[in-house]
Amino acid sequence: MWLLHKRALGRGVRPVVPAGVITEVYRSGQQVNLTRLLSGCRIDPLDESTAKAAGILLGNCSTNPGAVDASVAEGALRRGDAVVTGNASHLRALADGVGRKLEVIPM
Amino acid sequence: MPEDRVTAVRERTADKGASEIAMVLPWSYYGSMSTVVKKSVSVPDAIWAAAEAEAARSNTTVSALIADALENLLAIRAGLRAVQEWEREHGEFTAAEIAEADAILDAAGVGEPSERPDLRLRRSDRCRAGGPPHVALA
Repeated sequence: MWLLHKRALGRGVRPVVPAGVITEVYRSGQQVNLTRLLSGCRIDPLDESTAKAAGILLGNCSTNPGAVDASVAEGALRRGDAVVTGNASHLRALADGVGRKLEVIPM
Repeated sequence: MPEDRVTAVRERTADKGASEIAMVLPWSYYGSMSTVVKKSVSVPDAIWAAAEAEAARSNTTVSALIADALENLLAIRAGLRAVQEWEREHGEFTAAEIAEADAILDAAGVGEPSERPDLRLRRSDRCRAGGPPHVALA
């Protein structure tokens, strides 16, 4: 993750972190490495419109990958991003459910 | 919020200083409080002309365009410095690891592998900056 982060930044690309992902991993301001990682990232907020779009992905998915994964897939599909993730199968299933393809980089 | 709870909050805030009250304001409140400064900077005329053309194409202002580009550049440089801190503690990546990561990013179409001399950082930073987002971390 750190190496891909570094090389993406070096290419002038700011990785995007959906807000829900931060909720999953953030527990306190003592997480130094998380703070470091996020300092180079763009945070994608979850608002009414994107939350509904993520919900539609969940509704069309044959499995139940969870709301955070759905918001990750929604944002990546909207922006045309590749996704670096430990949940590759979930994200692919969410995209498949609406007939889309996601570029996934499994961790 | 029940009325007795509202009253309790009012009583507590009346007893405390403004700084303590401010601490409970949501972060988004501060996010909307940024102010604008007017400064004089020098820009090569060709770059300014290109910025005006890009602003017109994007239906925005040159000021907004510059603010967005600068915010992106500063965040990328901050991110690269943070990676350097991490590498000092955990060890630098090897050339083979870097090549593997570059191949992954190339295959996924993330960014452009070519140098961006116009955005190159100081030599000590060892990296480059600028450009749109094209990868999500999850």
